Amino acid sequence: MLPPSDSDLMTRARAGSAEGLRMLVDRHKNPVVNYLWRMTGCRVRAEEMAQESFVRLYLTPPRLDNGASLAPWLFRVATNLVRSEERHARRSRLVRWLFRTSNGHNPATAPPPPDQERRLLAQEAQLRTQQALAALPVTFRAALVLREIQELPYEEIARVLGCPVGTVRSRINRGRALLREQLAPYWNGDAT
Amino acid sequence: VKNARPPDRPPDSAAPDAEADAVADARLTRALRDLPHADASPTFTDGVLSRATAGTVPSARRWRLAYPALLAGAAALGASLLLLRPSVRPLAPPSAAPTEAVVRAELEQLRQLRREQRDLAAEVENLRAHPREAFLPVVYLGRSGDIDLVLDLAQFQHGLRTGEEGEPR
Repeated sequence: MLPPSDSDLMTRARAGSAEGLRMLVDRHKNPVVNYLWRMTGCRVRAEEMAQESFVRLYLTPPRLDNGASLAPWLFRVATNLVRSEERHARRSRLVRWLFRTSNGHNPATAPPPPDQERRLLAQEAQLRTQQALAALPVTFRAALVLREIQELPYEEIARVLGCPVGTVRSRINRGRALLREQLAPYWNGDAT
Repeated sequence: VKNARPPDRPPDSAAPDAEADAVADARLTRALRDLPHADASPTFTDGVLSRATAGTVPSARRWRLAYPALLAGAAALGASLLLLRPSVRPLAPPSAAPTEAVVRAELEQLRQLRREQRDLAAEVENLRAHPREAFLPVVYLGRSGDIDLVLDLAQFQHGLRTGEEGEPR
């Protein structure tokens, strides 16, 4: 027997079936959390925003064609949440800058034991990549993460971002170029 | 050779550039794919269900949602202050003494509000211009009779320093 489609589950959830909503959440939660983790760089925020995306799904359900997947809608809501969150963060940074008092100092960390070095180097590479990714403008970051990490086809990314496929391709290329620029000093060993 | 075009750049430099580009591109793809994947926490679905059925919003967002209401309240207050101006009150009796007194009092309130607004704007401007100086450490010690006792730590520190050096003030 075929599993129920997203639109079937949406109809059930709209009729008040908690089981319908539960099945929808279980079906889509991991890609959404993973996408938001890469977009925000923070696991906790990613979970919180993913939950909010699903709550919005319940409160303002989209109109789904028969057999259509809910994933593009969820990714679109998640992207908008990131955008709005970053706008808010920019305003907060400005206020913090206006009312700053002193610079906190970072305590020195102890050198790692030699047996952990390899793991730490891999972690550092991931951290640098994540930091460079987080520094990209949302427009490029969203296209890049959806393509390179979520491995969505171009057509689906275009549906998520609401733009033509050609624009998606150009945003991905531009995003990749910006990322390479940012990571080049680290790759070349020039970064501190 | 007829119609042959000169190369845009020396033929030797093009190949290494393209190769370096390809290497960097492959490295970037690998770096992105190497990023670990996250799964939702075990309590994720229950969290969504409880929030959805309760119709609640996260506490951090409550204030953000309240902003429009606060702005609307402020706009309503501004509008009511504008309506209190005598020029926009055509129905007011022209020569009734109590009404004139009321209008005068309201005008005075309005002037006071404008003064406060100007003072606040100047203060904000000052904060922007001198963010550090605006936060000199001051401790309020209390009240003695009609006098507020305030200790300016910057001056106190200066006094200590000059005292240590033994210089007369």
